[in-house]
Amino acid sequence: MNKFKIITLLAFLFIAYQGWAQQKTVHGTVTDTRGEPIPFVNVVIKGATIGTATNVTGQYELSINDDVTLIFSSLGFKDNEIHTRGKEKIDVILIEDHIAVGEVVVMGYNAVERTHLASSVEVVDMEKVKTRPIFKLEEGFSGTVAGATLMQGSNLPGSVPGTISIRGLSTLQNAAPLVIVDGMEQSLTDIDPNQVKSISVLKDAASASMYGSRGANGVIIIETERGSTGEFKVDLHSWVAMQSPIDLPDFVGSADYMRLNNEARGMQGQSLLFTEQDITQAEGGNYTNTDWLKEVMQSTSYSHNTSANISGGGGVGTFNLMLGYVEENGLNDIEGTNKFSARFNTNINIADKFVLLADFYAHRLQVNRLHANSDGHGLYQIAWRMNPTQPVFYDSDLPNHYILHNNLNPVASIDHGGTRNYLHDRSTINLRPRYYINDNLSISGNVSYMINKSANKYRRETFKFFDGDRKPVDVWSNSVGAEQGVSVSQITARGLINYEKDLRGEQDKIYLVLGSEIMNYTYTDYREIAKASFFGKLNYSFDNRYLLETTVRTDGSSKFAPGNQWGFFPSASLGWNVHNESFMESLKDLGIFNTFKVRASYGLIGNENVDPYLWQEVVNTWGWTMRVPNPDFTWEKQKQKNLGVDIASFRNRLNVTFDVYEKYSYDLIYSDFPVPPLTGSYYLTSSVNIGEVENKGWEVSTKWSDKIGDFSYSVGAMLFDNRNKVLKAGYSENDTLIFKNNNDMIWYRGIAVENYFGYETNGYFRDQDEVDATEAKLPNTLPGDIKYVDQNGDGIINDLDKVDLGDPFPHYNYSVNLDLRYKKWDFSVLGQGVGKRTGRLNGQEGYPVLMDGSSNSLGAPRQYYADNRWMPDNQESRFPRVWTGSSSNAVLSDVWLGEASFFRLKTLQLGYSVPRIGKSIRNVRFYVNAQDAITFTKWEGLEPERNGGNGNYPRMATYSLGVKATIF
Amino acid sequence: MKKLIFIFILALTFVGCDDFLDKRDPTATSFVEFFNDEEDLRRVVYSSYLDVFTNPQARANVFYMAEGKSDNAYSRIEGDHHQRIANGDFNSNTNSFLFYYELQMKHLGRLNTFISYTDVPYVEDESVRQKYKSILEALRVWHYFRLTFRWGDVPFHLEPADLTDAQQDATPKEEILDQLFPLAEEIASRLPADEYTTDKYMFNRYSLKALTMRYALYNGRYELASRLAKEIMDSGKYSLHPVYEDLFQYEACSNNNEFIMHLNRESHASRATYTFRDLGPHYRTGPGQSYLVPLKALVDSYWTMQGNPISNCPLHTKEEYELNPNLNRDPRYEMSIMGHGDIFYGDTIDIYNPNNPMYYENLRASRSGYWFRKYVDEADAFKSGGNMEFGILRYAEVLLTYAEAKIMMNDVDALAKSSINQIRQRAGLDMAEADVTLPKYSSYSQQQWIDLIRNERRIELAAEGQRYNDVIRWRIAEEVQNKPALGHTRKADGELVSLKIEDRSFRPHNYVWPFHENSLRVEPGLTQNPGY
Repeated sequence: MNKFKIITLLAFLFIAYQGWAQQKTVHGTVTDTRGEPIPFVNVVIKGATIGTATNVTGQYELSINDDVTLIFSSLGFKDNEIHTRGKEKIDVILIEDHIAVGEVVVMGYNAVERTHLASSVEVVDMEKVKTRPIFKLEEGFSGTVAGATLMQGSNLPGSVPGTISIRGLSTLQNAAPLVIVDGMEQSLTDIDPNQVKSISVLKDAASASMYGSRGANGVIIIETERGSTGEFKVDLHSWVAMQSPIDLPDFVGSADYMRLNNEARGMQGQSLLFTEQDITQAEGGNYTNTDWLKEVMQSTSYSHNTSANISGGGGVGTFNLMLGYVEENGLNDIEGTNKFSARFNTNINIADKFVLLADFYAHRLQVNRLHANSDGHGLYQIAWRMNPTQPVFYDSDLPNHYILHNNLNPVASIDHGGTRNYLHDRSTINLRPRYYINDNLSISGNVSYMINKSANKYRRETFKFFDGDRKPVDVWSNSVGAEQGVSVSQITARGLINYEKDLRGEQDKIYLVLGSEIMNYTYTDYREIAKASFFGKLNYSFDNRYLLETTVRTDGSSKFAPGNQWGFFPSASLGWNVHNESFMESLKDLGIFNTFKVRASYGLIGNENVDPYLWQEVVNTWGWTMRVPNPDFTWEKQKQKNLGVDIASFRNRLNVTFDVYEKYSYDLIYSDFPVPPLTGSYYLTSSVNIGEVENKGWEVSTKWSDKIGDFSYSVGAMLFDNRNKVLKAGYSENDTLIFKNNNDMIWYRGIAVENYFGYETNGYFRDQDEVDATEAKLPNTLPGDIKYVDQNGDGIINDLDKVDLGDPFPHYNYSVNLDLRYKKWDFSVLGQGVGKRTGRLNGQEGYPVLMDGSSNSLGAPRQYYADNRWMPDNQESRFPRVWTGSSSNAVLSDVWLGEASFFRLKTLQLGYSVPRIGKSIRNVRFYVNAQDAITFTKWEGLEPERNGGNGNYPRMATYSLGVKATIF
Repeated sequence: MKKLIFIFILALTFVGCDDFLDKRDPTATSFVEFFNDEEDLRRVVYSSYLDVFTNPQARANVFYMAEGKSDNAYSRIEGDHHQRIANGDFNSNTNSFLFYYELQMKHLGRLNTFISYTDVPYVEDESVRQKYKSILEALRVWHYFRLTFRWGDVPFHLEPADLTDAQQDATPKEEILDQLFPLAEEIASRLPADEYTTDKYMFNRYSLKALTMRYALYNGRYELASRLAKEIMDSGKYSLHPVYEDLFQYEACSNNNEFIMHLNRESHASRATYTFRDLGPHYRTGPGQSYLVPLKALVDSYWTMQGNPISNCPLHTKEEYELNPNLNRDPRYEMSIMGHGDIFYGDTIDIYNPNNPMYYENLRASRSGYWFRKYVDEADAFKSGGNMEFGILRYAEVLLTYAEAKIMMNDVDALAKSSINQIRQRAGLDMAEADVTLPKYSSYSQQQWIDLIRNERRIELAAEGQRYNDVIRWRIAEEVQNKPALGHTRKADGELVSLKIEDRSFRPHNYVWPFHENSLRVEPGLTQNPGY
């Protein structure tokens, strides 16, 4: 806030200085391009607070002290700045601002007109995103950007819904794309969509290479809303929502549970737990039949979001104060999150040619969880471990007489387990001064500072448990504490030179950016990361027909071994605006083609998303060499080719974009490369650059929009797919790479980057004779267990018999959207789907019991499993026999894989707009929205966007009701 | 003005120079930097013991939990790496093998490095440096004894290894042993003879000899085993403690003359011990988790008071003994095991009462209905951790080894018989019948002596983690570990019915462990053991 005061003071000083000079009057008329006068145009002095407006006939008059720059602005027109230069009469022509969002594309360091663009950039429609009840910005990327996928497994309040994957997976490290908000690198999870003006996704090497070192996973550029001159308004937006789970498991009831348990134990030769009498009682409803999930989901989850954007501007500059509050409650009284954020963006005209963009932002996110459920999913994992024959309470008159089943009782965890509150703070300061040397050349800087802090506190009061004989059996003792998380403070400094010029009388245009940047991250646990880079970018459009874009960037990062810290990342792309060619004139006149652009790009980008210090030899104070050092540790690199076509035709009613690409990644960073134990290192790993991976894919998106009288509609669809393949899994072509912590995945030449490496199966064992007659089987096999195929015929089932069973990636991703508008009503639908995906029925979504490596007997089978299990008179079943305890069935094989394609209606929205209510309230819109409400899928698990599991916070459908209005 | 701005920008660009990018881990030290004085030598020896042998918290490694690999006991947590080995449900992908192999091999790598650098630290008294160096070498020998016993042929390397050395071919087991035994004796001769007053857990001459004796017996080198056993007996440094029970309770665990290799409080810097949690029952609000519980096979193996097996007793029938293990039984039974009907902390144990936490189907209860009493002291019943001290190898084993070695050489001399008698007498058996110098024993064939000494060993060393090794080296696993794990027995409808925990199997190739698939890929010099 101090900074703002200083700037205001400077502004006043300039104004005072102005007052020393002479007074004179300047006047004129403001017209549009057709010569019509424009009334109520704001006329302000740049750098001062004095201004006026044109009258009904478009005339204005203003007293000034000296030569100044005047800014003419009006809603719907482009701002025009004119220097008085001694003249007294200045007539101004304002050009209509019908360049829609998307026609000037923000590339990060500059903004380029779309017609001059030769690389693959896609812009997200923010209006749609703002009216959806989303809590984390990642959710807005599902089905809205061709090439980007997001698989969301649950709707846990306060957690990141998933990783956005742009054009496939090409790394073993963190695959999240780079996110730049107003020039600062940060995570996009908690950015409020009401504060965002535009989101550009840079997909190919040519566009992303400007971010050289970190662009290999794609780049997302976010610009936040700024104020505009002469327009003071307050935008309000508020919605409330209710959520209901869509993926609750179908566990069996207590009668079936008892029968299945007896069946399993009988087949395994163990004593039965339940008698026939128990089962009959359960059938008759006289036995415990607890629905644990219902017990645990104690309340409906509600949420609400309110935001206010107060913006305006005058000669001194523009400002936009954005305040937002979002609150999301969980499924019981304690769990939930709330976030309060404030963003203040200003453009300050300090002097004639000097502008300062000063942005301040802070948010406070509070996440409340149960102490017994601090990761958010634990409570549901415990609920899944219970079975319906276990009652919550003893049948006694002691109050709160919970039964601890195997030390667990999730209802007790809610009521007496204590609470844990997390607090996450972020504040940023972002200063971007810009000096215009002349109309074409400007230099700018960017200094930003961001600090992220987190802390948590927990509290649990004492609670005593008693056994069935009223004797004490366990105590949850008082526990209170607070912890500070590791904070990180990030400083970025950047210097840019920007040059834009129209050549040959507006036929050609050249954009040039040169710059250098340094970044420094300091953590409170001693770690420090530093990065430095130099870059340059050139866009040249010749006759608006031939486009050239080249980028050169060199980056250095402290994470890599000395001598290997710098990388060089160049790229180039060519575009051809075929629609501006003379031979296309006729087609253009007929209206068949309005735009036809072909573009091709090729570039080299890098990835350094890895922990620091991995190359170094570290010996701890016990004499352990923690990992084998690697003095050659360096960048991960990627070469990408892209070919694209953009077509707009039928008077711009039909838009088609088609891209095909190939990414070749090499020197992949693998930080867990296993080393032989005799080397004596503690983690038995080394960080190496190894392997080569290829990603090939294509994207096509189309949209048709038209208007018939009062009725306008648009229909859009997109379809994209990506295939990846390991080209080299080690140092030579025939190497294989194993993953120590994951025996179900392997790398060798030709296999997908993530894969299912398991056994092929051949039905189930018919009876004990068949079990005895088969040599190649896993130990302790019984009739009804899976028959694994012995691929090499050696009589043993081991790793040599494992084969590639497919990959977990979504293929043939598609989405369809429909927008209808009739007078004041609007209706839109967004449906998103995956055409083909091999999903894994992991954990209790597949197995009839929890395979936890200890008793392997908790939980109840699903009704779906029970209905399709092996029985002696049902040999050709979907699933093997029901079991409890350790089993040879619980390894990865094709039995546990299934088709996980789906189509989900992500948004179903109906809105009604009222242009004006009363004098100052305008642009009011009421809407109702259903999100994730309807899903079509054949997936055998519970939720097609995730691969099974042992219990997690449910996936929710959200129903919301909202209103937007602008005041003044 | 413009010039100034340009210079400013240029300066900015040169800010990104190399110093700025040179960030190193501030917690990193190099090896030579931290290895400075005598205390560092001691610390290195301490941590080499702690990580593998003496951590009371690590259930995969602590000596008494290893009983769960054998037919004596059941370990209920698969992740403790005992259960699957006991029930035979394993193959080359089972994590336990990776865990144990890597743990030992990486310690070997570390020991090799330490041993080659022992001259670096400053030590005032050279004999102290020699002592620590010898102890490190002895640890290295211990690791190789264990590795060869489990896997057979392993890489044998006594120098610090780089990546090429670490991938060398495995050396055959017998070749390694032929080098180890003389090496062990040579190291022993360098070590001080007396027990240390402080750091008792570290090897001294006789404790190393005792370890060598144990592995000599394991590997069938009976001459060597009996010679070493005799040397230890003759040294007069150790003797049997008069009360068997007290050795495993607080009464005498810290002051007895029987423990030769110690796991005492110094070996883990006085952390808490967890025997009550691991072996004891869930009693009231106490910490008992029953992670390891004894089985019917062990219970039935105890002699009668007269020193006879329960199937061969003139006084009572086998069925009576099965239904009531306390009847006319070897006193060591009630000192080692408790079960349904016995008294614990003043209460009678009832495993069939569903309201009671000790109900046999509860997760924290014993699925066999029995618990070990060894190491389970009622004083620990409500404490979160104890501070017991243990003997990993005690004098009784020396006597048993001497007797067994002599029996296997078919030379049952007076000393061998006297050793057996000492053990039986200390146990409290009725020596009028159990004395092995009595006429009825003089007609024993070698096989009968073998059966006798094997069972005596099983009873004496119950719950001390030796049974699995014995079952493997006697090659009786195919017989004893192919039977289901059973628990408490009672009479129902005129039939004897025992609780059944699980089926177990043991295949002929399970006498050696497989190398984990990961190890095979990372070390191309290894060959997988047959059958995997």
